[in-house]
Amino acid sequence: MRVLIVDDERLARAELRRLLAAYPDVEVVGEATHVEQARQQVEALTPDLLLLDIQMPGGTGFDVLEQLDEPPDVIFTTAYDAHAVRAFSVNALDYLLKPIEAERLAESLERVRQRGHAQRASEPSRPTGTPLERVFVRDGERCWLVQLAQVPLISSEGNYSRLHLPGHQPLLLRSLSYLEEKLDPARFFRASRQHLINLDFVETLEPGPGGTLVARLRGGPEVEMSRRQSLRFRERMSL
Amino acid sequence: MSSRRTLVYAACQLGGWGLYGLANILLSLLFIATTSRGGEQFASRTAWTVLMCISGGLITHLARTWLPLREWVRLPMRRLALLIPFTCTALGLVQQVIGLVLAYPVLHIYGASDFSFSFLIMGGAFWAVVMLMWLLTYLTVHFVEHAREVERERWRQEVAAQTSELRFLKAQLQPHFLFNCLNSVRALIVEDPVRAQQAVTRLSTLLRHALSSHGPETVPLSQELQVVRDYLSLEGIRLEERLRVREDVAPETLGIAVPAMLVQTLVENAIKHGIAQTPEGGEVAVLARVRDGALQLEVANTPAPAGTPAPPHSSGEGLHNASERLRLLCGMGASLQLDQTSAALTTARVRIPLSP
Repeated sequence: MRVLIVDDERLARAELRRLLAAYPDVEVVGEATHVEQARQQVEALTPDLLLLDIQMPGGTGFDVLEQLDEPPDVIFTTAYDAHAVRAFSVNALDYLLKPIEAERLAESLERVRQRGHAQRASEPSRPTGTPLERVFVRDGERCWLVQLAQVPLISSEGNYSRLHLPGHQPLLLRSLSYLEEKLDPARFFRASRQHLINLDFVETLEPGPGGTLVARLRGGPEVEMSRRQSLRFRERMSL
Repeated sequence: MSSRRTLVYAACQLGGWGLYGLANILLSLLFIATTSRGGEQFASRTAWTVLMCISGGLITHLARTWLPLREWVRLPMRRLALLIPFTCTALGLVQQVIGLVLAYPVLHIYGASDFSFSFLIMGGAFWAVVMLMWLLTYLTVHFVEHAREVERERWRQEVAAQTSELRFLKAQLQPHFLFNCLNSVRALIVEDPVRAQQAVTRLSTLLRHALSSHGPETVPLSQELQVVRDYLSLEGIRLEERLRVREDVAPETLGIAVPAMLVQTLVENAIKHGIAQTPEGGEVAVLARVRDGALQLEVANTPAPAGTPAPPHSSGEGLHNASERLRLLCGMGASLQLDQTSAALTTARVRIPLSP
């Protein structure tokens, strides 16, 4: 497991290195001290896991994740942050409180390993240039690493996009066109200027007004395709 | 207190009505001097004036006793606008009736031919105006007193709030700082045991200071600086070469009393908003000197680069509270200002006037 440590304090990084030395399968590939450096290091080194401090110069650990195209697995490290702890208590993102207990670190690493195994088993090969698979989103006080395969619908909101998940609709700081380019075209289809739909979620297709198509998605919403995209969709389906 | 108030009230009543009577008698004398027939009525007119003053004094005194005038200061203006004219008119009418009885059947100042409708109305209006003046004077005194009491109460509450707030601040001592510090110390135990031991000692001193919440509200600057040094050395372990400290304190300032934790708050701010936000770090400078009859304190720091988002939980409240506390403890002449006009330096300036 290749790990990148992000923390603005040298002693905190040294302490993490010391703790991680106990794991032969863990390799610390680099260190970063602030938001911008962290982004560059992740892109250059493509680590499997980020040990990410929340408070640092130039922003927070959340800002780092929001800037990354496809964030690796993350374990947050924080001295004390009631907000952050609340943010994690509702989802799978893991965190460690400083000073870090060796046992808690072991648990977190084990969790990451299992998650990694599950993913690698389902997709044996991951060549470079693979489509975007997950994104980090923040919605008020909560934050998630969202698997995009589980998102039925993405709609455009100006320069941003909204993910329509059951129960919450977080905003993603990327444009819909950008996402269309990065997402797996076999799974996501641009239904109109406003919508990107996940084909796995399409339940029924009905003819709409003027030769368009209306897709009903599992779990609720109906999306009307534009005329042009309806045509394209029909062509694609008939192939 | 209340006996003094009664005395003041009595003096005002006697003085007011006495002056009114005296002025009237003097006017009557002037009247006699200018006319030939005035002399006959002078005695009865003087008697009437004296009796009117006594009845006026009595009526207003009874009004003060029977009406809840002191509670009127709490009433809304709209109710007062109705109450005051009504009360004046009523009191004025009573006085007018007494005046007529005294003037006609008792003292024979007027004959039956003197009475006309407009004469009666004019008399009533005159007394109503006199009563209005009395009432306004009385109410004004109470209004001023009431306002002063409200202001005093407000200050009392503010001081109480500030005191409890200070206790709270001292008690909680930034958990974020505390745990980061412990984390650094843990790393130091392996790396440099001697420094780790020093850090634990410093942390103990700081904690002991923070926990002794019953201490004085102001401390000599020398004592405050000792706390600041402990704090800065701990932050230094955490931030290492990113934190550079400069201290320039004139010896004559060391004994001057400053609000406890004031410099500490400013230094903490300087690190939180400045040094900790900058990857390459910067300098915190603490300056103290006496100039123009005042203690001048400055905490200057290299600011965060432009466009840095504000760290969480920072609403500028800390600085505002510090400024309020400073004024409460050191008087209205004391001030705290944050100077962010220079891009290269953020400076918090404190001025505490020295008492002569």
